[in-house]
Amino acid sequence: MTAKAKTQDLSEFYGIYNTMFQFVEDKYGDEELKKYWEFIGEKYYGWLIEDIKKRGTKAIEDYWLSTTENDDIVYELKTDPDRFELKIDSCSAIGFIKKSAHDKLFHKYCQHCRVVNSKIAELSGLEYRVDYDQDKGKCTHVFSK
Amino acid sequence: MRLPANQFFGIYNDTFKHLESRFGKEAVLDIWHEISENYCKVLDGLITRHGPIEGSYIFWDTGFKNEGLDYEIKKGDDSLEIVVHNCVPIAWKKKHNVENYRDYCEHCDALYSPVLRKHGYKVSLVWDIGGVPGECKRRITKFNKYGN
Repeated sequence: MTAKAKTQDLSEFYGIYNTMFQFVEDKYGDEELKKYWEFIGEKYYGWLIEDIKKRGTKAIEDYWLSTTENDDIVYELKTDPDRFELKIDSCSAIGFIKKSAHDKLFHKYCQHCRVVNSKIAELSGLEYRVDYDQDKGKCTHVFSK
Repeated sequence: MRLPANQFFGIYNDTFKHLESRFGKEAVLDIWHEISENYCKVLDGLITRHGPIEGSYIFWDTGFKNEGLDYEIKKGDDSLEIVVHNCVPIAWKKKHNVENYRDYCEHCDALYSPVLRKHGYKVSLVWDIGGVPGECKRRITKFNKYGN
């Protein structure tokens, strides 16, 4: 599945995420980078955690679909009340950063998904796992009860 | 699930809050500097190709149109004035109940002034015009021979 045609291009923001991750690791180290991502998972996504507690995997599905607006991501989705499985065939973030003349892909870019989503899962009572290949921009995420 | 582009305004905002709480305002200034050095290469390139005023005009006019901002932009005699009504990041955060980082509006100056300064131009930026969050005016002019 590919997201609908774009009415607005927000891709450059992936470059800024990349810059911010690189900065935090360079200046403050690996542990602080993990703390930063955990903060995003716990504090920024507090609203999503509460929604998952109320509505389960439907909340994750609705959130995911909202993020595909104006985005180039290519993905497949399999959901039921107990499980949310997302297979990304072409990550828009990785794609943009690799093509960018200004950005060098942060070597741990994909790890942010593992840390942020693990925190969301932990605080909403779900299990989570991810397998990814950063070079290819492919990954599979599973949230389950 | 990657941090999405359409949550950027909120995540960017909260990144500043997190860094300040961990390491003080200096850390926020440092990340703004880093973003300026990296992200503002587009503006720098446009200024190098088209000159400070035309390059800035292209940069902000294109960027603001893409973000869907309500703005006015006016080229003067070696100057540029941009007035933003209802800044999109400020409005987005209000709509999504993300508490605005106290010094959020400072980051625009922190990002773009160094680039213009390099080319001999200065930016004067005023925000919250009339006490209204999201209303700002930016004026780009050349430094005089005394550096003012």
